[in-house]
Amino acid sequence: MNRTEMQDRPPSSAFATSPIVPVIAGMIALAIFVIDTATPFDDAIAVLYVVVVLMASNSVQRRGVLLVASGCLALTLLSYFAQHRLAADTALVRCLMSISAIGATTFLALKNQSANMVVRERARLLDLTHDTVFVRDANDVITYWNLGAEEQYGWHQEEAIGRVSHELMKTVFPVPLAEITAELLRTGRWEGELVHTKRDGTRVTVASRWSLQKDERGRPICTMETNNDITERKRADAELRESERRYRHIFQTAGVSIWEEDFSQVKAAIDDLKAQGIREFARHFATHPEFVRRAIALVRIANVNDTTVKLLAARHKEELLGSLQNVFVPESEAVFADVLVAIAEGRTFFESETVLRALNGDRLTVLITIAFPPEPAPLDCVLVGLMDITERNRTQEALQQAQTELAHVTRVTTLGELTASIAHEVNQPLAAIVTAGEACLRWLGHEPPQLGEVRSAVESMIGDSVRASEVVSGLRSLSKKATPQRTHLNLNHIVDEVVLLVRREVFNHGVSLQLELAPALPPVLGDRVQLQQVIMNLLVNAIQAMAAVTDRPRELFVRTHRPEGEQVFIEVRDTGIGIDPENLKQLFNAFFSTKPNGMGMGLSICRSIIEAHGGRIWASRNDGPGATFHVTLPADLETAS
Amino acid sequence: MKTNEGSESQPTVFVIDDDDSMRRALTSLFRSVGLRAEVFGSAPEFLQSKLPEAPGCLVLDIRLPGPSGLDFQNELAKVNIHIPIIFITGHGDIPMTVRAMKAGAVDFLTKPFRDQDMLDAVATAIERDRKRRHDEKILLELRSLFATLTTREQEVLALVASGLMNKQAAAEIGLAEITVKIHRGHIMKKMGARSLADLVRMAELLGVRRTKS
Repeated sequence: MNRTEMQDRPPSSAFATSPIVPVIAGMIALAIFVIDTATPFDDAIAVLYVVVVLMASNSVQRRGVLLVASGCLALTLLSYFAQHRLAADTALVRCLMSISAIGATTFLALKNQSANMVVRERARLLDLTHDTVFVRDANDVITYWNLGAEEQYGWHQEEAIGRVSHELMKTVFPVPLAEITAELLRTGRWEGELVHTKRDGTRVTVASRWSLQKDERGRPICTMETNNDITERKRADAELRESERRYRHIFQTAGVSIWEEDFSQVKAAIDDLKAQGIREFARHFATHPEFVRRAIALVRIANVNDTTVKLLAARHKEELLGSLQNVFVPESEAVFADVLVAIAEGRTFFESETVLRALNGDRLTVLITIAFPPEPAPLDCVLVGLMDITERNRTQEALQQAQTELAHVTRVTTLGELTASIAHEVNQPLAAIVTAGEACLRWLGHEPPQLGEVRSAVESMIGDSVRASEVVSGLRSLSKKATPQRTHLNLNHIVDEVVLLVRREVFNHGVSLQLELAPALPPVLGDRVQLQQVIMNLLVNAIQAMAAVTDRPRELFVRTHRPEGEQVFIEVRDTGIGIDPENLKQLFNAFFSTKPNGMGMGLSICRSIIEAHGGRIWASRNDGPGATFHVTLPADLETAS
Repeated sequence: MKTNEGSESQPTVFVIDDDDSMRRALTSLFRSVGLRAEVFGSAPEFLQSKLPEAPGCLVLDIRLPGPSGLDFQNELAKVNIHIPIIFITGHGDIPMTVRAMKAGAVDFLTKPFRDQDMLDAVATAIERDRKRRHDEKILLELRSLFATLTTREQEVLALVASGLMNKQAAAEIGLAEITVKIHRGHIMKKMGARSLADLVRMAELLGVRRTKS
């Protein structure tokens, strides 16, 4: 197959579709007719009509070809009759020869045309495909170039056809071309990735498939090359690989412990529960610890990073892979149950504090974060992050310890200021007990003993003993150095208990104390001693603020109430010297004191206590003389209801 | 403050203490030894009550709501109530004690006190009050007797009480000695004096002094 034939064959050939062809054909036909009719040559001029038929077959459809052939036959006969008048001589033989030649040519042309139609149809199909398809001959000269190739590479077919394909596209082969050719010749096919340069200079990577066409004797005729642009896919693959590589790098070297865990079996177990109609997962897990334990056994650790290996004191990561049981401690079951709830509810994020056991037996307090892929993922690769907060918690504990001790010191200091009045508060009932006891003995000494009097005296003594011991126990609990404990407390009781201790101090300073305690106050969750300390501090401060006041009544007003919302309020109002506006803000700072001998710790401790209880404390100036201290604490409404 | 004429003879202990238990215990103690006791939570309460015309004493807590025990002691003196006071206190200090004793307190007891100390103090105080009341009564009688004397007789009494002989006294006021003697006889009779010494003591109690002319 040579180049010219290839060019003639497709109907889209520029020459074939040109409007000049019929004109030329017509002129040739006319010329033949004139020569055939007018000149006395004994040759079969009419045979030349086959040229006209051939030309027509290239430019018109089947019916047109027949028409042209018929015309040519008619012209041949016309010339014969015009010249020879039915003489049965050699002229007739020549005429018949011409007619058979035209007929045979027409037959062959039509046959060729219909064969061309099939080829054209096939070529059109090749154009329909998005793939790049081109054909090159044994010398790699392009002989066919489809629409896909035009779009892909940017060359039109007339630009591409006739060029050597590897030169045109600057093909870069993955292996030497000779190897490829050898394989192609051996198997008739080759597949591989090539890099081509497009017309605009950009390089594309293509997945290339070559197939070799051979003639009946097995000699290669041409190669069809089909190419798919995989540049994007290659880039996406590369990016994915890079992303994966980066992820691996981060995973492996991150300063936090990261685990890849397989929760798919856990998820399946939870899905089973859902299928059984269970909805209240938190309650279910709380009442079915065996499920939680089973679920823990179902977790598979797929991978851990270096930090994890170090954190858990493992020699290598294989020690940690597989089951979670190696590092799990029973008290973390509650946290794991929360994880299960998170999975059941389809949450994508979980965070909690929990405890693990390192392989060397150390207990670690860790902050655990879990990122679950969104539903409906099988949860076969769940990323779990751990942060060791053992140290942080230890520091926090030390800080709390220091604060507790400081609170204790200031409490004892305040109590020290109250020693005289508290001693009096204890002495008073003791004195009454002594006197009542002595009276009791005297009544016993009567003849007969006055038992009624004895009884009432003893009853008084018991009452006074209780009173004295209440003061003492209040004093003891305040002076004890104990770790804060959260219990449900009624603030009114706290106020009463403190008033018991400061009553005498209030009295000694000529202060009138007024309590307005709201009934049905909801409880607060807090430490009794610490809250007593706050109130005691506020009361003592108020008393001291009024010590210098001589021109007006010294009034101390303590009020508890519950405003709208979930807060409980305490207010301590005095008619003392008040607070300078510029001191209002720094009042609660440590070491800030307006008293000459003040440590400046009292209110600062009050604030840290109240804030640790989730409350707030602040001071305000009264409209009249004095100041008011306000404390709010969150009400524990769950217990109240 | 009015006096109660009824319960003449029985001594009464008044207690002012703001501590209810202490009041009850003291009441019981005093009653166990047959003493009447009246208790008050504060000084104003005490002032509002009627005081019986009988020997008594006041057991007073130093620390009281309102004016302190010591202030109240002064207040009572100002309004001429001379009831003997026994102070009780949770913790007495020396300046407080001195001040109380100077102002005439019978005793100063620190809580808790021994019952006997309290009862002794109360007995002393009541005795002192009884004596004061007795002296007051005698003086009152003497005053009324003295009022029955004529001006001249009062004059003569003053001179005699100041230790002058009849002759000297007569010379002093320009009377005959015999006249002075007669006056003196009348005076002795009117005043119910058993002897001259008795009369001189009476004059002293009455505060009758010779006025230099």
